[in-house]
Amino acid sequence: MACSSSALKTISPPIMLANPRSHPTSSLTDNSLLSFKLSNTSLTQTLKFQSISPQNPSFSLPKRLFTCKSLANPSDSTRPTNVQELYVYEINERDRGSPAYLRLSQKSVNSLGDLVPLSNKLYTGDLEKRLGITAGICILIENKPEKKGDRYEAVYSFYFGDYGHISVRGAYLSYDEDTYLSVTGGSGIFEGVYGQVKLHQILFPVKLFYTFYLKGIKDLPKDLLCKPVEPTPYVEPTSAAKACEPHATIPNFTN
Amino acid sequence: NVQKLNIYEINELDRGSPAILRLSKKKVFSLGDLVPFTNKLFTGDLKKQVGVTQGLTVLIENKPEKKGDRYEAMYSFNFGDYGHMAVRGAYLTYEDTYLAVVGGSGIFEGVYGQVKLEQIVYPFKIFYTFYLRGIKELPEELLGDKPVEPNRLLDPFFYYVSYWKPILRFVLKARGVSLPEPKLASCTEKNQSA
Repeated sequence: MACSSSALKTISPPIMLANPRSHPTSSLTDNSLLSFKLSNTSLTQTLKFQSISPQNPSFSLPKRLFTCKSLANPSDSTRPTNVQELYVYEINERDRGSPAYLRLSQKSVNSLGDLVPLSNKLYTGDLEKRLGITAGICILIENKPEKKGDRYEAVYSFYFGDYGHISVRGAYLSYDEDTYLSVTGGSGIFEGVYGQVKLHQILFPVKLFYTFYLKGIKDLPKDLLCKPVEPTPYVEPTSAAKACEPHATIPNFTN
Repeated sequence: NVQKLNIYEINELDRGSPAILRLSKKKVFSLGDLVPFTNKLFTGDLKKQVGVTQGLTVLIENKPEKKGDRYEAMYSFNFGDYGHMAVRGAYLTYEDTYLAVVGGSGIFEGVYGQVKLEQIVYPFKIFYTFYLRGIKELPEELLGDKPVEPNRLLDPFFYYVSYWKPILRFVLKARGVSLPEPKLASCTEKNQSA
């Protein structure tokens, strides 16, 4: 709560409020300028959000909350604007026939026209529970021989069993460590979600680590939130999660 | 505030849809097959045609034990002059699913929410229930009267029987036998797209 009280004190250097933990969006500093203009009524909202989600680790939010409130459409004031972080691992265990590389361009090198449908398994950030699958398609945009990789446009969804799904879109660079994709929508508990997700490639194309920054939804269930395992090339899901034993999965996990 | 909208999607087999692209080159449906499609949309009370759906479903996996497939669907509901809505999500041929409404244009600008997909007759008749937020009141024309309750028991049989000609034509075409195509139905009413 220390952050929110400092927010009450002054609206000058909001940059000091920034969480020392690295936050992805460089636009955060742009948002800080906007927060100067905001009224004090949004402060009470800030405090309300803080008290509801004590397990939410990202306490740099007071600043973001101000800007979200100012930009939000006044008619959908029921849409929560607090950011929730969700960590998942996407692992390709090579048992789903994925990825299916469709060389439709009929050229010997990867070029515009190739499509890559994919479907991999999804585990929680601490690799203890099986969540479901990812499913979608990557459209090859260009091959970058100097970087030894390609640029894709990725259009896919994350399925979380009974909890619902999240759909994402964005650029996927096979040579780059990190890219950001946009969260376009969801169903189930993720209904009305928006925000972005950071894709961190550990091992191409077998292991990926995602950090979701989700807005517009109620608090996520405890099942999904966890302390993530540090992404290294040697991380593996627990054998219980791999075998999909009942205590190591979420209800009705997608397969 | 949530707005509910009921829509029927009907494939009358007169739009060349679906175009099953067996790109995986395997005997059974497997990851890699793509199925672009476009079907007609009707109001929930089945009184007016409101537009079309258009988009792509990517086959993710074949589920032999459930006698169906899982697709990743990305398509739009085009309501002509009213605008369109884009949706993304899972399409399971053997059960009902929820898709995410990712955006829209026209009267649907800024929309978000989810839509329930119920298959009545695979793959010809689908009943949608939209739960929409972020937009103004929808016009009466789209909402219509009380929606027709889909008849889940009788519909499939009668459908296949009453549509035997286009189904036969479609099946023969898939096997390489070509028959003269029927004339494409064209809509002349306002606020509709063909």
